[in-house]
Amino acid sequence: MTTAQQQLQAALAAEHAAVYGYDVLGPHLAGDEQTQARQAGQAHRDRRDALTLQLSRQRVTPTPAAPAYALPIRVTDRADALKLAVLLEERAAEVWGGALAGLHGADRRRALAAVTDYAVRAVHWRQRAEMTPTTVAFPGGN
Amino acid sequence: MASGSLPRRGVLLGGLAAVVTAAGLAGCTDTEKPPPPSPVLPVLAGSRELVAAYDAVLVRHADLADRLAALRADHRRHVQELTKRLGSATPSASASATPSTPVVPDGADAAVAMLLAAERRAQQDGTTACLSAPAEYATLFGSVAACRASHVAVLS
Repeated sequence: MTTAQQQLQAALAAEHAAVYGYDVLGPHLAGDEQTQARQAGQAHRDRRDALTLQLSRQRVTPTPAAPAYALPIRVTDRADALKLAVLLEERAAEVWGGALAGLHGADRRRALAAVTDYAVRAVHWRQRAEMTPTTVAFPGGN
Repeated sequence: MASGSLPRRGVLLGGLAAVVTAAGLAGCTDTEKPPPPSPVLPVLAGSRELVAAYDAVLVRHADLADRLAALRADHRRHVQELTKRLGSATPSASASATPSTPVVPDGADAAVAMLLAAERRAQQDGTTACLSAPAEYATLFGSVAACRASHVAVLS
């Protein structure tokens, strides 16, 4: 496997975990927030599917989803759900951010789009959870 | 007599080596171009400009501090980290050039709109910098660009 493929595999694993996490937290939200969680979960599914396809085309076996993932917090209510959403987005942004160094061209462009997208979503959830500060200086690591 | 000639040859070779070294050094200074400017510089300049813009807005509209101070703190952290990564290899004059102070609108809403426009431009610049960056800067520049994007979301 090339360095780029290893980075894409790491990103894929992070996307599997994010998809799982949103499935867990979604039912604890209602109304607008549940809709936004569904959309956020879908964004992770879309990237997961794109990565799976890309790696398969390169004749690399894509990292499969685990049956379950250890989540950083137990979700029992809205506050937990919002907190987990923040953590999922920040974790995904960090993994994609770390991948940037090993990626070039269109791969790097897509990775940066992921970091940006997830950084913005993390801020959205931070606002909902009334966390301060609302933003982080290095959403993709440094 | 061989034992007498050895030291002399040693001296001779030593002298030759010195001449070659001097010639080599002279050749380097004649032909080597100055190193290209660090890719960190434009990103750092962008962060300094944003800090200056927030400073100017907060001087004029102190009541916006609750909303803006944390965002300015992110840009200050970018300046710190980028300065650290720039190291001492580059002349400090270009790195420490003072950014221009923007003219701040009277109204608070217009002042925030000015910052929003500045963040948008800076996000675009950061994105461009990340996409063309050497590997060792890609993550840092990407983070800076994504942070600026998150500020756009907060200010919109």
